Amino acid sequence: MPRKTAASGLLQLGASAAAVAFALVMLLPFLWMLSTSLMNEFEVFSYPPPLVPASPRWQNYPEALSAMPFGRFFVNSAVLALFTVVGQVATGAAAGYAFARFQFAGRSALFAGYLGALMVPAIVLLIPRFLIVDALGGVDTVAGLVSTELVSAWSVFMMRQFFLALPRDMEDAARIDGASEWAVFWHIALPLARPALATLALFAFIDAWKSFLWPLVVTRSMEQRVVEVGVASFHGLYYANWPYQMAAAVTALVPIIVVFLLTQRYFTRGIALTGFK
Amino acid sequence: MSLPPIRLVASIVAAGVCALYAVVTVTLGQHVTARVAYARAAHEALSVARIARTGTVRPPLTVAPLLSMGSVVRVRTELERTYGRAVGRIGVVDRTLILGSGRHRAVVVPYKDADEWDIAGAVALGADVLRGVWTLSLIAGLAAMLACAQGVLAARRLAAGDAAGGHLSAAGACVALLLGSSVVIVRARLEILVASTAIGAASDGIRRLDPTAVPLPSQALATIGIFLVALAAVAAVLASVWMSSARRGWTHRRETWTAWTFLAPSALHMTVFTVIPLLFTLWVSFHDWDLLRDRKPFVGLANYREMIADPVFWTALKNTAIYALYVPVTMLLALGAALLLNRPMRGIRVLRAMVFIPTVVSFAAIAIVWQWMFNADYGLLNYILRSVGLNGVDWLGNPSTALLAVMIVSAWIQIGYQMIVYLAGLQGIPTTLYEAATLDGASRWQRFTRITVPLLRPTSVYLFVTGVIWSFQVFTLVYVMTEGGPVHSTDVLVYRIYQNAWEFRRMGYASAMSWFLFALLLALTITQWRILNRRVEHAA
Repeated sequence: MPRKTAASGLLQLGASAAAVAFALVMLLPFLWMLSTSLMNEFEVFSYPPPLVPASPRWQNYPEALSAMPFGRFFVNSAVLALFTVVGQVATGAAAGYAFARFQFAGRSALFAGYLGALMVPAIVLLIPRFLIVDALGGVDTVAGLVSTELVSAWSVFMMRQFFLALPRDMEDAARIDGASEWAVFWHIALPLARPALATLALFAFIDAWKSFLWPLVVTRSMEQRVVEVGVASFHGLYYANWPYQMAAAVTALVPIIVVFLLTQRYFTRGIALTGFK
Repeated sequence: MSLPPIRLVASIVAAGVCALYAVVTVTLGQHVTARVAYARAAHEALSVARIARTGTVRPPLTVAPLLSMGSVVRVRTELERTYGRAVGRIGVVDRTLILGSGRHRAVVVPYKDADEWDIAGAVALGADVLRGVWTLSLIAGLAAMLACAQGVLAARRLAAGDAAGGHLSAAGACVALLLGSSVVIVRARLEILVASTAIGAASDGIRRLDPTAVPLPSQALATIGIFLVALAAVAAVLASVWMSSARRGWTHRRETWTAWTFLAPSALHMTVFTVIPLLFTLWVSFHDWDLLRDRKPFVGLANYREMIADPVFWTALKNTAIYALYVPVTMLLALGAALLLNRPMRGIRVLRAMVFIPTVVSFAAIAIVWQWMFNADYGLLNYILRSVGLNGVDWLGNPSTALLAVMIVSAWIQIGYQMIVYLAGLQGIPTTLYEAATLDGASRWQRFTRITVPLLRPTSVYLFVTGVIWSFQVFTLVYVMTEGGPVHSTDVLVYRIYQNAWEFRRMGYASAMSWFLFALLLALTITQWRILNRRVEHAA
């Protein structure tokens, strides 16, 4: 059946072309952002819009980045991400392990509580969390910023699912050899959980880096802003200068895109592993 | 001689730990209260300084050494030593001065010399809430640990038949508890004494002031009360767990104890930052809650009534619902993309990554990029539209298209995520089904509608409901791209909540709206569970 194969081959080719075209369209805003970030301040206001800058103006980057303390923003974002990752991985692993391994009083009630917390949208907690952090003197401090992010019901739930699926033979063997519960957890269970911990850390990092509303309300001074909020306020300040804004946007996006490209396979696996993010 | 049973010793130690805990909680509460009052005094003094605007009082000492001295008494002694004579309290007519800014703000209260003429010195009160609590907690914690260790030791020794050693350890536990609590109490009393002296010094200067005109740094007392109640609740839960595990024997108890130590950090955090806030926001929603005002009167259901009567709220709700419509449209596109990218092909991983990238990147930067894309005169989108012969649109400037523009961006962001989930779903469909259908002569379209679509239904339900829940919480895009405008055409619920709470300073009203949103989303989630569970039952 040569005719059918040819038609099928053509269909395959068309589908491949469509896939490539679709991916390129998805990438278009990024390319446009990169191109604009290198344009002259007035070059952008011409019609038809120049698709590539006449001569790349690299100074846009240092100029835009020195207009606001972007270095400080990045440090703040990194600190927030670091605390979030460490906090959520540590508490998630410990609590998930306890739920998966121990028969203890109050287990079902407590787990129901965690499941309930999973359903509470962040926006409902925004105002009271702000008031509590404010009362403790944490507004506009690093401690206030990171305090609410240290634990997530999601990470506990995910680690519980992982430990439930993990065979417990090695742990039992260690217990018979006389290891304490902490030793079993630390030396046996945690090393085995490394892939799950990596996925959890990755998701926690992305979430922390992307978080906007909480850092927006809990920080006030320029020195405490994170990248996301800093970029937004830069946008308000340099409203008419699109190349500057695009340069700031590129700078804000580069770290997270690099992290994504380096860890891409964890993402797909993580979404499959956890039954979706 | 009969030995005291292990259980009795354990109970005594447990009771002691609880007592110590109670003491710590109460003293911490007093301590914090005093600190807050201290900060309030400082803040009121700040207002005096602003209103009076004298600027003539020059404190002879710099702030830093004053702060390091800590107590008013010592500062006063220091001043008297420096000037060689007694210094008097500040009079009513004198002013209070504020130095520093931000977290290191200090109030400087000038002191007059003995003949009430010259300014002899100044006392600085650091508005540094909660300093010193950590030391207290550390002492209390150390004492409790020591007591516990001694208690366990006592139990072990008694079990081993070493009566004398057991009693010694039990006594040690008691001593540790006693010492711990007395140190805590004495220290807290001292702090409170210092704080109240400081408040006395500061409040002398503010007698002429209308207290309602003074904005406060925070409304702390109610919150801190709730915080302490939370701690007490955790303690009560732990105690009841402990008691209820009693009948199941020593190993069960040990397992319970181990499990709770694993769980304690997250459970405590959940209590303080999830459970309490949930109830607290309900409490706030019944009040006229202005962050900057001291009085927060109870108003009953007035906030909810206002919400129902507020046309902007209904507009926001309508906009949010319309906005959520992008979810099913995006799902169709994502399914198409998943089918396109679910084939063996060179560079398929690169293509998938390209589609997925918008999902991981941050919203604020993306919103700026898209605002530029949507620019009416020079944006790329209108350029493309014009070059194919259509008219350009003022996307974000026109009330009838602004929401659509936000929806387009959201679709662009979400499509990659939904595609990955669909890909996982597609790869879970056994290929044998397709092979059998092909053998039976089913066409490509029939295979799609009869096999792919039905088997993907759980995935679709999941994506739809989570997508809708997610879309009801949209904020960043609106905040950066449109600020709810033009004329409220992109005003959504979360933006309403944000604006009321932080721009109009109406926390009570915003809390009422967030409880409404919570109820709405809860209903959605429960619906999702129902649908998915029904599916599972059918399958089973």
